[in-house]
Amino acid sequence: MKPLAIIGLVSTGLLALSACGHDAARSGRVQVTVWSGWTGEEAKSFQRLCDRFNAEHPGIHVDNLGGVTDNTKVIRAITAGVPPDAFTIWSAPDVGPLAGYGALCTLDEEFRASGLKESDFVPSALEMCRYRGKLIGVPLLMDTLAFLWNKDAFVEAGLDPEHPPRTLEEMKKLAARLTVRNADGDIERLGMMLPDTTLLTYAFGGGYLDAKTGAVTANRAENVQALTFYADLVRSMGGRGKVAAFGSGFGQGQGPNHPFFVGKVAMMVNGEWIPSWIERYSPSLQYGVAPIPYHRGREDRAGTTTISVNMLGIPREAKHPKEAWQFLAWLQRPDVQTEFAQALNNVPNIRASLSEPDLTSGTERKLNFGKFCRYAMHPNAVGFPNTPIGHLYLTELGAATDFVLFGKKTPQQALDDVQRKVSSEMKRMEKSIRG
Amino acid sequence: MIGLAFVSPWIIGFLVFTLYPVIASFHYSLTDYAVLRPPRFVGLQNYITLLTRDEYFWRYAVYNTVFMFLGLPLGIGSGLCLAILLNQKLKGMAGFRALLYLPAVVPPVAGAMLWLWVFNPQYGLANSVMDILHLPKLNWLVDPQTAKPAMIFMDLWGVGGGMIITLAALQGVPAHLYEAALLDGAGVLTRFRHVTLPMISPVLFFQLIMGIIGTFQYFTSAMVMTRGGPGMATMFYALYLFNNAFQYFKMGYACAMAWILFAITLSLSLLVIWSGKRWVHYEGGER
Repeated sequence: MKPLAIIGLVSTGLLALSACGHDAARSGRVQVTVWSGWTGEEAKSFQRLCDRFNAEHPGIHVDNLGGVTDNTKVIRAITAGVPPDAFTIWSAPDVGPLAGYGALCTLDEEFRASGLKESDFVPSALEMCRYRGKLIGVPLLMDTLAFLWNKDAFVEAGLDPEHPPRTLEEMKKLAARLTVRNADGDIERLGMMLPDTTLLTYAFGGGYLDAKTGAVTANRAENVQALTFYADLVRSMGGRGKVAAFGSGFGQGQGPNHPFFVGKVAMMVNGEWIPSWIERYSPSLQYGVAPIPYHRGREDRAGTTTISVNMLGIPREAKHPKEAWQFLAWLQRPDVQTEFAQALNNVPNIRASLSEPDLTSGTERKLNFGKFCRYAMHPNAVGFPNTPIGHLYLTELGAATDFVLFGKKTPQQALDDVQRKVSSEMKRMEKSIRG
Repeated sequence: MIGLAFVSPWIIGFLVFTLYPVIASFHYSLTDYAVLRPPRFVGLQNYITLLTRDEYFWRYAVYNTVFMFLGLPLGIGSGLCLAILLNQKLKGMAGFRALLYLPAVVPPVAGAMLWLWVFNPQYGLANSVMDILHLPKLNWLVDPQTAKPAMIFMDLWGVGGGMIITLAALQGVPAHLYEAALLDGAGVLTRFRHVTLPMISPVLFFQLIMGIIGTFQYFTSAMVMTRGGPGMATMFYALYLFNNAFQYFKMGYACAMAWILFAITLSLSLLVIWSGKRWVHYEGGER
């Protein structure tokens, strides 16, 4: 009994001492806890940024906890009253509820006082960090989409490899031509990897939220047109059954088995990381990067692309919001942006960094990456708006697309149902928020 | 006192991790609780909305009910058949027993990932088997028509658990009853109906109640494999509850769903227990 008790006491004492030692090393510095969502190699790159900040700011110590990909963890911490000082809002549909229920600090004052200017930023990136006009976060790098095509596949089908489709209708014709089927009727090469219906909606000039009133506009005429186009595209390539069957057999995204790299799809809309993946996994692939096609007759929608950002926010009950803001503002420095963008192959959200020669010129990969950066600056670059019912909206839109594809509803019916459900939920949510 | 001290870990665990959350969830079900803000009392509003104005509530509850009516007879029935087959006194039965029980030991998430690939329309085993049987290839989980049947079929993979219990019950049937039946000239089917079934009825009764509870709580596979799709075809009740609680910020609403679920499974179980008086025979007990 006695030796066991002694061991117990001693180990408890050692633990207590080590805890004290922990704080002693940081005494005099303000501890800023950050919860970030990057994992693996990307987490290491973010940690390097934190270390760099700590070195340059002797009075602050950023303590980064990586791998927090589950936003509900942060929500629980906020509810329990022990939130981090800053965190990455990894799930974009959570931004609306977090902001709407007042869980995030509004940062307009700090933004003005820090000397940052709106014109420093890629406009669409900053817009994604706003909720009902108020700034409730800052971006840290963004993703943007462009049109990519397999030049060899074009040549095989007798098409000019330097001539990508400019309109969506052209793209649909090419998709049908580029789809290759075998003797059983199964697809061997898909002409076009199915694009996101959200992207198509914007390319048709539609939208999901009324810019002025903030009302839900799920069943706008342009949205219905976009969904109809999507169904037609699938039909022209062989119908939902065959296309879905083929799509489910795609290899893992990041790696040499990406369907675009192995020639299983001839055209696709994808993000700015693709050129570096191609350079790494499939360097002999002949491909091109071009702006996303727009609906014929709507030249004003040329240059449409959907963007998303990595957003950092400060909880309202954070212990050190001022120092947390210092970190967030520091992350907007062009050299910091460039360093992180190079490590992650994401597009910087600071304009000065977009034209950084080191990022966007020198090799074929960097030139293609540079195209993505240019497209992000286009006025028609847009992200899905922040709403308090983000998850429901996206789930309903996904279901609507499925209903249309399986012939259960017409595009108008499907989107009318979405409109009905989402707008009534929105009203209920607003009432609940107002209390 | 010493006894209490020994049981105290369990008591504390029960109070803190089971009883308190249950009471709290009932409290929340009477509130509008958006998680990020303190709950506001709204009385029975959540329940009324669920039962009268939520177009999804009834639809998804029906999904689970259909799942129950199709999956339970298949599950208990096939468990019983396999148990009868395993009840023979042949060599190697222990090996077959272990093989058939193995799927029940596989963690649900790992099993779900595995079945995702089995059901893959292009490369999966399911369609290879369809090919061999000269049946048309199906799109399984990617087609709303076949998604639910596919999941019911997948659930049958775990009959090993129920089968083992039924086997134990079969082996517990007194041999002299079979002899008496044989002497009376009873055939195989009559023996099954009048000796086997009544003697194993307690175990079937148990499986029925556990099955009812299980099918209404069906969650993991739907969450991992389809997330409710395609076209909401596999949005089972518990998955809808999850979405309400953790994605739509309607925790009070989700708690109300949980209590309605409790009411449903409780009434169905009570129904089975009441009907059990007619067909469940306990050895040595009153009919």
